[in-house]
Amino acid sequence: MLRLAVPVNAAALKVAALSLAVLCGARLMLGPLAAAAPATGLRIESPMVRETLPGQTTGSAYLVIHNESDVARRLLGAATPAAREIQIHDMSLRDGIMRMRQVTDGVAIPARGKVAFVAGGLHLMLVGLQAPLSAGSDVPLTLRFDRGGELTIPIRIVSIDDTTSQPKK
Amino acid sequence: MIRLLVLIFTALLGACSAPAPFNASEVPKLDYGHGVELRDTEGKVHRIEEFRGRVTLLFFGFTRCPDVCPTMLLRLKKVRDAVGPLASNVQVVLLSVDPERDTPDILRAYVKHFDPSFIALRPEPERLEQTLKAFRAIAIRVPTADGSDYTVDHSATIFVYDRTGALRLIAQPQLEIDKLAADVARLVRE
Ligand SMILES: [Cu+2]
Repeated sequence: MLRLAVPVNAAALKVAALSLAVLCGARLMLGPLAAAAPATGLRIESPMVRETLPGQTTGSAYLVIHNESDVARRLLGAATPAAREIQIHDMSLRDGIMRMRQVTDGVAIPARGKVAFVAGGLHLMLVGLQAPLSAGSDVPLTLRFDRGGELTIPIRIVSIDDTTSQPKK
Repeated sequence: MIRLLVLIFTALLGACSAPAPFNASEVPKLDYGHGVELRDTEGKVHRIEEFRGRVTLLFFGFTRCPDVCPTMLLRLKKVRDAVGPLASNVQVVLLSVDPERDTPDILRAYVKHFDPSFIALRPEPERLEQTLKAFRAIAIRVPTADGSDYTVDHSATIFVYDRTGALRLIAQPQLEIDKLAADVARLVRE
């Protein structure tokens, strides 16, 4: 399974990223380790986004955020160059009605805990796609946490028929 | 494996006099949605009872629902496949609860991707409410937090019409594929 290690020393990486950014230009911002500020102890597992079908202008991304630190953190938002914006959504099934709500105050990631973003539950909704998402390639995803923590990772676009690579709750 | 189970299940059913209950909730042959004219993506007008002869699985959804609706379509494809050689007697229908944004082209591409036999029905936007009422279903437009967009809360149950065109079963969306497939296979053989 795809597992991405998250920087242990964010400050050093920031320096490295910045100096590389000067060398390579802004493109590096899309790189997997362009962590800006303290995201220590945060690890992202199985990130993926579903491919879109013709005409679809929204996409759903799934992942598991692990907090391996002793401090509770909060996911505040996310962004990708592939879409106008990313909204955090929560799905629920109540009284036979499927409901989807935007979560605007962030998602708590408990200390030594994890939060799964899965189909039918919390998910990242890519709104206003710049182009259709086609399976097989990657798009960069930046997760924004409290205390200035930021993580950019590549996420794989998977086939809409692929249910196995989706993280489970 | 699922096919085999379906066959065994059906064989067992034939052996006993009192039929075992269905996995989905059985309803007493209702006429929900009968008489309502709905256009498919090719412009052809249908009424749900005109699918009689086949077992019809109807669910409510929209293409801007990238999270749950694709999962549902995949599940229904698996249900249809699990029915085996009789799959051609099973019709999957998506009824759009967002006809304003679900144009015929978008809907066609969406459902045909999962299975070429699937069809989508699209109420005229101004008749959406009365259409849903006829199916005793709900769809509520909910603006997103920033007000720039909307999503649609909607009925998530699957309506199963038998071969006489009567609504026979109402399945919860999380009902296991093999259980729903067993129900559908049973209705196909009725
Ligand atoms: Cu969503």
